[in-house]
Amino acid sequence: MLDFNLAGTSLKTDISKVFDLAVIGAGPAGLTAALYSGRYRLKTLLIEKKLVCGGQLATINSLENYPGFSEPVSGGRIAREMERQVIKSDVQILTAQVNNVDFSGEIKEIATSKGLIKAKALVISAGATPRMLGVAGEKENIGKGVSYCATCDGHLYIDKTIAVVGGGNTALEETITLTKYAKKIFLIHRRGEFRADKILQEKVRAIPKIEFILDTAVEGIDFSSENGKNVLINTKGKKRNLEVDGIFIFVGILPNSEIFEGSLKLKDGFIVTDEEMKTNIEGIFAAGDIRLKSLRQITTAVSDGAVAAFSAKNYLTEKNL
Amino acid sequence: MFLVQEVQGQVKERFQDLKDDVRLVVFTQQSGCQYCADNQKLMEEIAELSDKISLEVFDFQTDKEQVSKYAIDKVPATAIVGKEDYGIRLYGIPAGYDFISLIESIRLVSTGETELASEESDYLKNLAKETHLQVFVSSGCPHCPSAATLAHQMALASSKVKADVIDAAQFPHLADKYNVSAVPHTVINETAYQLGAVPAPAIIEKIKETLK
Repeated sequence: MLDFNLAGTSLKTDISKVFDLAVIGAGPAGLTAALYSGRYRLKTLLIEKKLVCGGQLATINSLENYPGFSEPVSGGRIAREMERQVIKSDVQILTAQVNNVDFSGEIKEIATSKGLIKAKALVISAGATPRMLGVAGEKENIGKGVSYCATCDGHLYIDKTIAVVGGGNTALEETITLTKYAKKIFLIHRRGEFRADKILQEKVRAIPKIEFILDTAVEGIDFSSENGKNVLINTKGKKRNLEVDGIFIFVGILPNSEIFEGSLKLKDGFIVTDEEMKTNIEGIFAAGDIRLKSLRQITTAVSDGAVAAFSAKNYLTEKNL
Repeated sequence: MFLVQEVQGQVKERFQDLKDDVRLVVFTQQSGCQYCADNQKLMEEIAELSDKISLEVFDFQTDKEQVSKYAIDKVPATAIVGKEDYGIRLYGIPAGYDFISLIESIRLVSTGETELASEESDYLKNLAKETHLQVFVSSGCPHCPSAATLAHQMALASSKVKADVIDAAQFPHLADKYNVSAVPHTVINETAYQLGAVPAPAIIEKIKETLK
Protein backbone atom coordinates (compact mmCIF):
# COMPACT_ATOMS: atom_id res chain seq x y z
CA MET A 1 0.00 0.00 0.00
CA LEU A 2 1.39 3.34 -1.02
CA ASP A 3 0.56 6.25 1.21
CA PHE A 4 1.44 9.89 0.77
CA ASN A 5 1.27 12.20 3.73
CA LEU A 6 2.95 15.36 4.76
CA ALA A 7 3.52 15.79 8.41
CA GLY A 8 5.59 18.82 7.61
CA THR A 9 7.06 21.52 9.77
CA SER A 10 6.29 25.22 9.78
CA LEU A 11 7.74 27.09 6.86
CA LYS A 12 9.17 30.39 7.99
CA THR A 13 9.53 30.46 11.74
CA ASP A 14 10.32 33.83 13.23
CA ILE A 15 12.56 33.19 16.21
CA SER A 16 13.56 36.79 16.91
CA LYS A 17 10.89 37.42 19.57
CA VAL A 18 10.77 36.07 23.09
CA PHE A 19 8.39 33.11 23.28
CA ASP A 20 6.09 32.50 26.24
CA LEU A 21 6.88 28.79 26.05
CA ALA A 22 9.47 26.83 24.15
CA VAL A 23 9.18 23.05 23.94
CA ILE A 24 12.25 20.96 23.16
CA GLY A 25 11.40 17.74 21.32
CA ALA A 26 8.30 16.83 19.30
CA GLY A 27 7.46 13.35 20.52
CA PRO A 28 4.02 12.75 22.03
CA ALA A 29 4.92 14.62 25.25
CA GLY A 30 6.21 17.71 23.42
CA LEU A 31 3.41 17.70 20.87
CA THR A 32 0.83 17.57 23.66
CA ALA A 33 2.55 20.31 25.67
CA ALA A 34 2.64 22.47 22.53
CA LEU A 35 -1.01 21.71 21.75
CA TYR A 36 -2.19 22.74 25.23
CA SER A 37 0.08 25.77 25.26
CA GLY A 38 -1.20 26.89 21.85
CA ARG A 39 -4.77 26.53 23.08
CA TYR A 40 -3.91 28.66 26.12
CA ARG A 41 -2.87 31.21 23.51
CA LEU A 42 0.67 31.28 24.77
CA LYS A 43 3.20 32.25 22.12
CA THR A 44 4.66 28.78 21.65
CA LEU A 45 7.65 27.36 19.78
CA LEU A 46 8.17 23.62 19.34
CA ILE A 47 11.75 22.67 18.48
CA GLU A 48 12.42 19.32 16.78
CA LYS A 49 15.74 18.16 15.36
CA LYS A 50 14.24 15.84 12.76
CA LEU A 51 12.13 16.73 9.75
CA VAL A 52 9.55 14.28 11.04
CA CYS A 53 7.76 14.84 14.35
CA GLY A 54 6.79 11.99 16.65
CA GLY A 55 10.11 10.83 18.10
CA GLN A 56 10.01 7.15 19.06
CA LEU A 57 6.25 7.12 18.37
CA ALA A 58 6.98 7.57 14.65
CA THR A 59 8.95 4.32 14.61
CA ILE A 60 6.11 2.17 15.98
CA ASN A 61 4.51 0.09 13.26
CA SER A 62 1.53 -1.18 15.16
CA LEU A 63 0.27 0.32 18.38
CA GLU A 64 -2.39 -1.60 20.29
CA ASN A 65 -2.70 0.07 23.66
CA TYR A 66 -3.40 3.70 22.84
CA PRO A 67 -6.97 4.41 23.95
CA GLY A 68 -9.39 5.37 21.21
CA PHE A 69 -8.09 2.97 18.57
CA SER A 70 -9.73 -0.45 18.76
CA GLU A 71 -7.63 -1.76 15.87
CA PRO A 72 -3.83 -1.57 15.79
CA VAL A 73 -2.73 1.83 14.50
CA SER A 74 0.65 3.03 13.23
CA GLY A 75 2.53 5.37 15.52
CA GLY A 76 3.39 7.51 12.51
CA ARG A 77 -0.30 8.14 11.88
CA ILE A 78 -0.95 9.23 15.46
CA ALA A 79 2.13 11.47 15.38
CA ARG A 80 0.97 13.09 12.15
CA GLU A 81 -2.48 13.79 13.56
CA MET A 82 -0.94 15.24 16.73
CA GLU A 83 1.26 17.49 14.63
CA ARG A 84 -1.67 18.75 12.55
CA GLN A 85 -3.56 19.48 15.73
CA VAL A 86 -0.57 21.44 17.04
CA ILE A 87 -0.21 23.49 13.85
CA LYS A 88 -3.94 24.28 13.97
CA SER A 89 -3.48 25.75 17.44
CA ASP A 90 -0.99 28.31 16.05
CA VAL A 91 2.18 26.78 17.43
CA GLN A 92 5.32 27.39 15.41
CA ILE A 93 7.53 24.38 14.74
CA LEU A 94 11.25 24.85 14.16
CA THR A 95 13.46 22.13 12.72
CA ALA A 96 16.71 22.63 14.58
CA GLN A 97 19.24 20.88 16.74
CA VAL A 98 19.54 22.21 20.30
CA ASN A 99 23.24 22.63 21.04
CA ASN A 100 23.26 24.34 24.40
CA VAL A 101 21.05 25.89 27.06
CA ASP A 102 21.46 28.76 29.50
CA PHE A 103 19.02 28.74 32.42
CA SER A 104 20.76 31.40 34.51
CA GLY A 105 18.39 34.29 33.75
CA GLU A 106 14.63 34.66 34.05
CA ILE A 107 14.50 34.42 30.24
CA LYS A 108 15.76 30.98 29.25
CA GLU A 109 18.17 30.82 26.33
CA ILE A 110 18.43 27.90 23.94
CA ALA A 111 21.24 27.85 21.41
CA THR A 112 20.13 25.95 18.30
CA SER A 113 21.52 25.23 14.85
CA LYS A 114 19.10 27.92 13.57
CA GLY A 115 20.03 30.57 16.10
CA LEU A 116 19.34 31.62 19.67
CA ILE A 117 15.82 31.03 21.05
CA LYS A 118 14.54 33.00 24.02
CA ALA A 119 11.58 31.88 26.10
CA LYS A 120 9.96 32.78 29.41
CA ALA A 121 9.24 29.13 30.21
CA LEU A 122 10.48 25.84 28.86
CA VAL A 123 9.19 22.28 28.58
CA ILE A 124 11.91 19.70 28.00
CA SER A 125 10.55 16.65 26.21
CA ALA A 126 13.68 15.58 24.35
CA GLY A 127 12.82 11.91 24.80
CA ALA A 128 15.13 8.98 24.67
CA THR A 129 17.04 6.78 22.26
CA PRO A 130 17.27 2.99 22.21
CA ARG A 131 19.76 1.59 24.69
CA MET A 132 22.57 -0.54 23.34
CA LEU A 133 23.10 -4.03 24.69
CA GLY A 134 26.74 -3.21 25.40
CA VAL A 135 28.32 -6.43 24.13
CA ALA A 136 31.36 -7.04 21.96
CA GLY A 137 30.67 -6.64 18.27
CA GLU A 138 27.52 -4.60 18.71
CA LYS A 139 28.75 -1.10 17.99
CA GLU A 140 30.87 -2.01 15.00
CA ASN A 141 27.99 -3.93 13.41
CA ILE A 142 25.30 -1.26 13.67
CA GLY A 143 24.00 -1.01 10.15
CA LYS A 144 25.73 -4.26 9.23
CA GLY A 145 23.13 -6.50 10.80
CA VAL A 146 22.54 -4.82 14.14
CA SER A 147 19.39 -2.69 14.20
CA TYR A 148 17.17 -0.86 16.67
CA CYS A 149 14.21 -0.01 14.41
CA ALA A 150 11.92 -2.71 12.98
CA THR A 151 9.75 -0.28 11.00
CA CYS A 152 12.84 1.22 9.36
CA ASP A 153 14.83 -1.90 8.60
CA GLY A 154 12.44 -4.87 8.72
CA HIS A 155 12.01 -4.98 4.94
CA LEU A 156 15.75 -5.63 4.56
CA TYR A 157 15.18 -9.04 6.19
CA ILE A 158 12.57 -10.58 3.91
CA ASP A 159 12.74 -14.40 4.28
CA LYS A 160 15.78 -14.06 6.54
CA THR A 161 16.50 -15.42 10.01
CA ILE A 162 16.85 -12.85 12.75
CA ALA A 163 17.29 -12.59 16.48
CA VAL A 164 15.36 -10.16 18.65
CA VAL A 165 16.67 -9.30 22.11
CA GLY A 166 14.44 -8.01 24.90
CA GLY A 167 11.40 -8.89 26.94
CA GLY A 168 9.39 -5.71 27.33
CA ASN A 169 6.42 -4.39 25.35
CA THR A 170 8.63 -2.83 22.69
CA ALA A 171 10.56 -6.05 22.09
CA LEU A 172 7.39 -8.13 21.70
CA GLU A 173 5.53 -5.55 19.60
CA GLU A 174 8.49 -5.19 17.26
CA THR A 175 8.89 -8.98 17.07
CA ILE A 176 5.32 -9.17 15.80
CA THR A 177 6.11 -6.45 13.23
CA LEU A 178 9.19 -8.37 12.08
CA THR A 179 7.17 -11.57 11.48
CA LYS A 180 5.81 -9.78 8.39
CA TYR A 181 9.29 -9.99 6.87
CA ALA A 182 11.49 -12.65 8.46
CA LYS A 183 11.01 -16.40 7.98
CA LYS A 184 12.36 -17.24 11.43
CA ILE A 185 12.82 -15.19 14.60
CA PHE A 186 14.73 -16.16 17.72
CA LEU A 187 13.36 -14.13 20.62
CA ILE A 188 16.08 -13.94 23.24
CA HIS A 189 15.39 -12.77 26.77
CA ARG A 190 17.67 -12.84 29.76
CA ARG A 191 14.90 -13.88 32.17
CA GLY A 192 12.56 -16.86 32.24
CA GLU A 193 9.50 -14.65 31.80
CA PHE A 194 8.69 -11.63 29.69
CA ARG A 195 7.96 -8.28 31.27
CA ALA A 196 5.63 -7.35 28.40
CA ASP A 197 1.85 -7.18 28.82
CA LYS A 198 0.29 -10.66 29.01
CA ILE A 199 -1.83 -10.04 25.91
CA LEU A 200 1.30 -9.42 23.84
CA GLN A 201 2.90 -12.56 25.25
CA GLU A 202 -0.13 -14.59 24.19
CA LYS A 203 0.07 -13.15 20.65
CA VAL A 204 3.78 -13.83 20.31
CA ARG A 205 3.40 -17.40 21.60
CA ALA A 206 0.79 -18.11 18.93
CA ILE A 207 3.17 -17.29 16.05
CA PRO A 208 4.96 -20.48 14.92
CA LYS A 209 7.96 -18.78 13.29
CA ILE A 210 9.06 -17.31 16.63
CA GLU A 211 11.35 -19.50 18.73
CA PHE A 212 11.84 -18.53 22.36
CA ILE A 213 15.28 -18.59 23.91
CA LEU A 214 14.74 -17.64 27.54
CA ASP A 215 17.06 -17.36 30.56
CA THR A 216 19.67 -16.42 28.01
CA ALA A 217 22.13 -13.57 27.77
CA VAL A 218 23.65 -12.31 24.54
CA GLU A 219 27.39 -12.15 25.13
CA GLY A 220 28.73 -11.16 21.77
CA ILE A 221 27.95 -10.43 18.14
CA ASP A 222 30.30 -11.74 15.48
CA PHE A 223 29.17 -10.78 12.00
CA SER A 224 32.59 -10.71 10.40
CA SER A 225 33.71 -14.32 10.42
CA GLU A 226 33.66 -16.60 7.39
CA ASN A 227 31.22 -18.88 9.20
CA GLY A 228 28.43 -16.36 8.74
CA LYS A 229 26.79 -14.04 11.20
CA ASN A 230 26.76 -15.38 14.71
CA VAL A 231 25.28 -14.28 17.99
CA LEU A 232 27.01 -15.77 21.00
CA ILE A 233 24.44 -16.68 23.65
CA ASN A 234 24.71 -18.06 27.16
CA THR A 235 21.81 -20.04 28.61
CA LYS A 236 22.50 -20.58 32.33
CA GLY A 237 26.19 -21.21 31.68
CA LYS A 238 25.75 -23.14 28.45
CA LYS A 239 27.24 -21.15 25.59
CA ARG A 240 26.49 -21.55 21.92
CA ASN A 241 26.43 -19.68 18.64
CA LEU A 242 23.21 -18.76 16.93
CA GLU A 243 23.50 -18.22 13.21
CA VAL A 244 21.32 -15.33 12.01
CA ASP A 245 21.16 -12.70 9.26
CA GLY A 246 20.59 -9.86 11.67
CA ILE A 247 19.78 -8.90 15.22
CA PHE A 248 17.25 -6.36 16.50
CA ILE A 249 17.83 -5.01 19.99
CA PHE A 250 15.06 -3.63 22.22
CA VAL A 251 16.47 -3.47 25.73
CA GLY A 252 15.25 -0.15 27.01
CA ILE A 253 16.11 3.46 26.43
CA LEU A 254 18.63 6.15 27.31
CA PRO A 255 17.37 9.67 28.02
CA ASN A 256 18.58 12.46 25.68
CA SER A 257 19.67 14.61 28.59
CA GLU A 258 23.40 15.23 28.02
CA ILE A 259 23.03 18.97 27.46
CA PHE A 260 21.14 19.37 30.74
CA GLU A 261 23.84 17.75 32.86
CA GLY A 262 25.10 20.29 35.33
CA SER A 263 22.08 22.57 35.05
CA LEU A 264 19.17 20.28 35.96
CA LYS A 265 18.83 17.65 38.65
CA LEU A 266 19.11 14.22 37.03
CA LYS A 267 18.93 10.66 38.30
CA ASP A 268 20.45 7.95 36.09
CA GLY A 269 20.27 10.54 33.33
CA PHE A 270 16.53 11.13 33.75
CA ILE A 271 15.27 14.60 34.75
CA VAL A 272 13.80 14.71 38.24
CA THR A 273 10.45 16.52 38.52
CA ASP A 274 7.54 16.76 40.91
CA GLU A 275 3.98 15.77 40.01
CA GLU A 276 3.47 19.09 38.28
CA MET A 277 6.46 18.38 36.01
CA LYS A 278 8.53 21.11 37.68
CA THR A 279 12.28 20.61 37.62
CA ASN A 280 14.69 22.08 40.16
CA ILE A 281 14.79 25.33 38.15
CA GLU A 282 11.82 27.68 38.19
CA GLY A 283 10.08 27.96 34.85
CA ILE A 284 11.57 24.76 33.49
CA PHE A 285 9.40 21.67 33.18
CA ALA A 286 10.09 18.18 31.87
CA ALA A 287 7.72 15.68 30.25
CA GLY A 288 7.77 12.25 28.65
CA ASP A 289 10.47 9.60 28.50
CA ILE A 290 13.23 12.00 29.58
CA ARG A 291 11.57 12.36 32.98
CA LEU A 292 12.23 10.09 35.95
CA LYS A 293 9.07 7.99 36.30
CA SER A 294 7.87 4.42 36.52
CA LEU A 295 5.81 3.89 33.34
CA ARG A 296 6.96 5.15 29.95
CA GLN A 297 4.12 4.91 27.45
CA ILE A 298 2.50 7.14 24.81
CA THR A 299 -0.38 7.61 27.25
CA THR A 300 1.87 8.76 30.08
CA ALA A 301 3.88 10.97 27.69
CA VAL A 302 0.78 12.87 26.55
CA SER A 303 -0.36 13.16 30.15
CA ASP A 304 3.01 14.62 31.17
CA GLY A 305 2.85 17.06 28.26
CA ALA A 306 -0.57 18.35 29.25
CA VAL A 307 0.43 18.76 32.90
CA ALA A 308 3.70 20.50 31.94
CA ALA A 309 1.90 23.04 29.74
CA PHE A 310 -0.67 23.67 32.49
CA SER A 311 2.09 24.21 35.07
CA ALA A 312 3.99 26.49 32.68
CA LYS A 313 0.88 28.58 32.11
CA ASN A 314 0.36 28.90 35.89
CA TYR A 315 4.01 29.86 36.34
CA LEU A 316 3.75 32.62 33.72
CA THR A 317 0.57 33.94 35.34
CA GLU A 318 1.99 33.89 38.89
CA LYS A 319 5.19 35.60 37.81
CA ASN A 320 3.30 38.04 35.64
CA LEU A 321 5.58 37.22 32.74
CA MET B 1 -5.62 9.87 -7.23
CA PHE B 2 -2.74 9.32 -4.84
CA LEU B 3 -2.99 12.66 -3.09
CA VAL B 4 -6.17 13.22 -1.14
CA GLN B 5 -7.51 16.75 -0.94
CA GLU B 6 -6.09 17.46 2.51
CA VAL B 7 -2.58 16.42 1.44
CA GLN B 8 -2.92 18.46 -1.77
CA GLY B 9 -3.67 21.47 0.41
CA GLN B 10 -0.64 20.85 2.61
CA VAL B 11 1.63 20.47 -0.41
CA LYS B 12 0.27 23.67 -1.97
CA GLU B 13 0.96 25.48 1.27
CA ARG B 14 4.55 24.29 1.19
CA PHE B 15 4.84 25.36 -2.44
CA GLN B 16 3.74 28.92 -1.67
CA ASP B 17 7.26 30.28 -1.40
CA LEU B 18 8.67 28.55 -4.48
CA LYS B 19 10.83 30.94 -6.53
CA ASP B 20 12.56 29.37 -9.53
CA ASP B 21 10.76 27.01 -11.88
CA VAL B 22 11.24 23.33 -11.15
CA ARG B 23 11.25 20.52 -13.69
CA LEU B 24 10.47 17.01 -12.54
CA VAL B 25 12.26 14.83 -15.08
CA VAL B 26 10.77 11.37 -14.70
CA PHE B 27 12.26 8.19 -16.16
CA THR B 28 9.97 5.25 -16.59
CA GLN B 29 9.80 1.85 -18.25
CA GLN B 30 6.86 0.09 -19.85
CA SER B 31 7.39 -3.32 -18.30
CA GLY B 32 9.46 -4.95 -15.60
CA CYS B 33 9.30 -1.98 -13.26
CA GLN B 34 6.84 -2.37 -10.39
CA TYR B 35 6.49 1.29 -9.42
CA CYS B 36 7.33 3.19 -12.64
CA ALA B 37 3.73 3.89 -13.63
CA ASP B 38 2.79 4.87 -10.07
CA ASN B 39 5.81 7.16 -9.79
CA GLN B 40 4.88 8.92 -13.01
CA LYS B 41 1.29 9.32 -11.82
CA LEU B 42 2.45 10.76 -8.50
CA MET B 43 4.72 13.28 -10.21
CA GLU B 44 1.88 14.28 -12.55
CA GLU B 45 -0.25 15.01 -9.50
CA ILE B 46 2.55 17.02 -7.88
CA ALA B 47 3.12 19.09 -11.03
CA GLU B 48 -0.58 20.01 -10.95
CA LEU B 49 -0.16 21.68 -7.57
CA SER B 50 2.04 24.60 -8.63
CA ASP B 51 2.44 26.57 -11.85
CA LYS B 52 6.16 26.69 -11.09
CA ILE B 53 6.46 22.93 -11.56
CA SER B 54 6.57 21.18 -14.91
CA LEU B 55 6.92 17.55 -15.80
CA GLU B 56 8.95 15.74 -18.44
CA VAL B 57 8.68 12.00 -18.89
CA PHE B 58 11.24 9.83 -20.67
CA ASP B 59 11.50 6.13 -21.35
CA PHE B 60 14.51 4.52 -19.72
CA GLN B 61 14.97 2.05 -22.57
CA THR B 62 14.36 4.22 -25.63
CA ASP B 63 15.26 7.81 -24.70
CA LYS B 64 18.97 7.05 -24.54
CA GLU B 65 20.08 10.63 -24.98
CA GLN B 66 18.12 11.87 -21.95
CA VAL B 67 19.11 8.84 -19.88
CA SER B 68 22.72 9.71 -20.49
CA LYS B 69 22.22 13.47 -20.05
CA TYR B 70 20.73 12.96 -16.58
CA ALA B 71 23.02 10.00 -15.80
CA ILE B 72 20.12 7.71 -14.88
CA ASP B 73 21.00 4.07 -14.24
CA LYS B 74 17.80 2.63 -12.77
CA VAL B 75 14.05 3.26 -12.68
CA PRO B 76 11.78 4.66 -11.43
CA ALA B 77 13.95 7.76 -11.36
CA THR B 78 13.12 11.42 -10.87
CA ALA B 79 15.57 14.26 -11.41
CA ILE B 80 14.54 17.41 -9.59
CA VAL B 81 15.89 20.24 -11.73
CA GLY B 82 15.83 23.94 -10.98
CA LYS B 83 17.63 26.80 -12.73
CA GLU B 84 20.20 24.14 -13.47
CA ASP B 85 20.60 20.42 -12.86
CA TYR B 86 22.12 20.22 -9.40
CA GLY B 87 22.45 16.43 -9.46
CA ILE B 88 19.46 15.83 -7.21
CA ARG B 89 17.79 12.46 -7.84
CA LEU B 90 15.16 10.25 -6.27
CA TYR B 91 15.15 6.55 -7.15
CA GLY B 92 11.97 4.64 -6.41
CA ILE B 93 8.52 6.03 -5.76
CA PRO B 94 8.75 8.34 -2.75
CA ALA B 95 5.94 7.01 -0.54
CA GLY B 96 5.45 7.18 3.21
CA TYR B 97 8.07 9.34 4.90
CA ASP B 98 10.01 9.57 1.61
CA PHE B 99 7.23 11.80 0.31
CA ILE B 100 8.54 14.50 2.67
CA SER B 101 11.97 14.18 1.00
CA LEU B 102 10.37 14.74 -2.41
CA ILE B 103 8.55 17.89 -1.31
CA GLU B 104 11.68 19.20 0.45
CA SER B 105 13.83 18.60 -2.64
CA ILE B 106 11.42 20.58 -4.80
CA ARG B 107 11.46 23.46 -2.31
CA LEU B 108 15.22 23.25 -2.14
CA VAL B 109 15.95 23.59 -5.86
CA SER B 110 13.32 26.31 -6.21
CA THR B 111 14.28 28.51 -3.26
CA GLY B 112 18.02 27.76 -3.39
CA GLU B 113 18.13 27.96 0.39
CA THR B 114 20.17 25.35 2.22
CA GLU B 115 20.76 25.06 5.94
CA LEU B 116 24.47 24.42 5.54
CA ALA B 117 26.90 26.71 7.33
CA SER B 118 28.87 28.93 4.96
CA GLU B 119 32.15 27.10 5.69
CA GLU B 120 30.43 23.80 4.88
CA SER B 121 29.13 25.14 1.56
CA ASP B 122 32.55 26.61 0.76
CA TYR B 123 34.28 23.31 1.45
CA LEU B 124 31.86 21.46 -0.83
CA LYS B 125 32.17 24.06 -3.61
CA ASN B 126 35.94 23.75 -3.62
CA LEU B 127 36.14 19.95 -3.61
CA ALA B 128 39.00 18.71 -5.74
CA LYS B 129 36.99 15.76 -7.04
CA GLU B 130 33.41 14.91 -7.85
CA THR B 131 31.58 13.47 -4.87
CA HIS B 132 28.73 11.01 -5.08
CA LEU B 133 26.29 10.56 -2.18
CA GLN B 134 23.81 7.68 -2.25
CA VAL B 135 21.32 7.79 0.60
CA PHE B 136 19.43 4.54 1.14
CA VAL B 137 16.05 5.16 2.74
CA SER B 138 12.74 3.40 3.34
CA SER B 139 9.17 4.61 3.34
CA GLY B 140 8.67 3.54 6.98
CA CYS B 141 11.73 5.32 8.32
CA PRO B 142 11.03 8.63 10.08
CA HIS B 143 14.75 9.44 10.36
CA CYS B 144 15.29 9.19 6.61
CA PRO B 145 13.96 12.55 5.33
CA SER B 146 16.60 14.38 7.41
CA ALA B 147 19.41 12.35 5.85
CA ALA B 148 17.94 12.61 2.33
CA THR B 149 17.43 16.35 2.56
CA LEU B 150 20.96 16.95 3.86
CA ALA B 151 22.46 15.09 0.89
CA HIS B 152 20.27 17.06 -1.51
CA GLN B 153 21.33 20.32 0.15
CA MET B 154 24.96 19.36 -0.38
CA ALA B 155 24.28 18.73 -4.07
CA LEU B 156 22.58 22.11 -4.35
CA ALA B 157 25.47 23.84 -2.65
CA SER B 158 28.15 22.40 -4.93
CA SER B 159 28.37 21.41 -8.57
CA LYS B 160 30.91 18.83 -7.43
CA VAL B 161 28.34 16.88 -5.39
CA LYS B 162 25.66 14.56 -6.79
CA ALA B 163 23.06 13.15 -4.40
CA ASP B 164 20.88 10.11 -5.07
CA VAL B 165 18.18 9.11 -2.62
CA ILE B 166 17.40 5.43 -3.15
CA ASP B 167 14.56 3.40 -1.66
CA ALA B 168 16.28 0.32 -0.26
CA ALA B 169 13.15 -1.85 -0.50
CA GLN B 170 12.58 -0.98 -4.16
CA PHE B 171 16.23 -1.60 -5.10
CA PRO B 172 17.17 -4.64 -2.97
CA HIS B 173 20.11 -5.59 -5.23
CA LEU B 174 21.72 -2.20 -4.51
CA ALA B 175 20.99 -2.51 -0.80
CA ASP B 176 22.76 -5.90 -0.97
CA LYS B 177 25.66 -4.52 -2.99
CA TYR B 178 26.37 -1.83 -0.38
CA ASN B 179 25.53 -4.09 2.61
CA VAL B 180 22.69 -1.86 3.68
CA SER B 181 20.97 -3.46 6.65
CA ALA B 182 19.66 -0.32 8.36
CA VAL B 183 18.47 3.02 7.02
CA PRO B 184 19.25 5.83 6.54
CA HIS B 185 22.59 4.65 5.15
CA THR B 186 24.63 7.08 3.08
CA VAL B 187 27.27 5.70 0.75
CA ILE B 188 29.98 8.26 0.06
CA ASN B 189 32.07 7.94 -3.10
CA GLU B 190 31.48 4.17 -3.11
CA THR B 191 34.06 3.57 -0.39
CA ALA B 192 32.80 5.17 2.82
CA TYR B 193 29.43 5.15 4.49
CA GLN B 194 27.55 6.90 7.27
CA LEU B 195 24.65 5.46 9.22
CA GLY B 196 21.72 7.38 10.59
CA ALA B 197 20.58 10.96 10.20
CA VAL B 198 23.65 12.93 11.18
CA PRO B 199 24.53 16.64 11.00
CA ALA B 200 26.46 17.98 7.99
CA PRO B 201 29.95 17.92 9.59
CA ALA B 202 29.81 14.12 9.98
CA ILE B 203 29.17 13.65 6.25
CA ILE B 204 31.87 16.18 5.37
CA GLU B 205 34.38 14.26 7.51
CA LYS B 206 33.54 11.10 5.58
CA ILE B 207 33.92 12.94 2.26
CA LYS B 208 37.37 14.08 3.40
CA GLU B 209 38.29 10.47 4.23
CA THR B 210 37.39 9.31 0.73
CA LEU B 211 39.44 12.04 -0.91
CA LYS B 212 42.65 11.31 1.01
